[in-house]
Amino acid sequence: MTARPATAVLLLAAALGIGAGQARAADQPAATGGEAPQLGTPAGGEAGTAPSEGTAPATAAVPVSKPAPVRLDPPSADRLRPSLLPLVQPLWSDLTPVQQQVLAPFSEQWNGLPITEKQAWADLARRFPKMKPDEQKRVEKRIAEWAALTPDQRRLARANYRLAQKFGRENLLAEWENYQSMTPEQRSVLGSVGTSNTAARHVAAQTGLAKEAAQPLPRRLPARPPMAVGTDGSTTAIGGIAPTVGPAPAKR
Amino acid sequence: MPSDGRPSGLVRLLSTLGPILLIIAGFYGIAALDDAQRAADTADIDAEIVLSDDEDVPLSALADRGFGVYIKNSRQ
Repeated sequence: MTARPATAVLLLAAALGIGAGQARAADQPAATGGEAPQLGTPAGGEAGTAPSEGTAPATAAVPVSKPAPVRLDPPSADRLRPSLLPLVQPLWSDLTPVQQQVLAPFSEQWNGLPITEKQAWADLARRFPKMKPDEQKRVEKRIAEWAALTPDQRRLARANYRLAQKFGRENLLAEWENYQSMTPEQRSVLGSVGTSNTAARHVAAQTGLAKEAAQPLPRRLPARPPMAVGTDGSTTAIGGIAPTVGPAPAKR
Repeated sequence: MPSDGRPSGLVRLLSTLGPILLIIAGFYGIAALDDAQRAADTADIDAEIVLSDDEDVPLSALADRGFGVYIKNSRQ
């Protein structure tokens, strides 16, 4: 009865010892970049030859470990590739010639696009041949325009598109025409959130008050230095920090 | 299982950690699904923008911050 636990412990220790030895032998080539195992770790099935003599020279172990790097590296690369490929597919080379032609503006940036965008573009390119000629022309042009946008511009375009979806198409066109009727100065002021459309139209006004009203509202009131109005109507920052947005004071 | 009928330490540990791990896995799954859905929506919008027939409103207009503010102001 008392021998059983001791036997079990011995068996467990033996099993662990063998397991650890095997694990070390298996890990070593990978950890050393595929180099051959060192002395005392006979590779392959030839372990029973030299050790029984007890006088095996160190050089005897060297030829045994030669084939290790050749056998281990290619299978590990093959194991990784199939698991990583779905993250980047479809690759540019996976597209058909027609798809590549339609999506040519994306050729340089294709591999960096998210997979969902790739799939959407590939799907669009697959439908392209079925479109009418005038539609094809328009889509080609817009794909080129879209590909030329930076990631930030694309984010902005998506946000504005969602916003514009709440308008009717005629309204959006009318808004675009109204926006285009503004001067570049007015548009640049409008680009800062906090300015109303009406106020932005007064950015080029001759009076100082109207010009001030056209400026974007400050995002944080305490951050804005107090303003002093001079006798000539010009405004100056008391704290020594001049306002950074807006044109220079009008000449009188 | 000990002879006195009480659950062993491993069983108690699993019964404690199991629900927590399930909740974490659930949150992770929901977040992953949400990300995937958002990415799919983004891709759909990209294609929708390109396919839209608003030829008079160029894509550069949508990418114009000022025009976005102008649209937002017009809605208020």
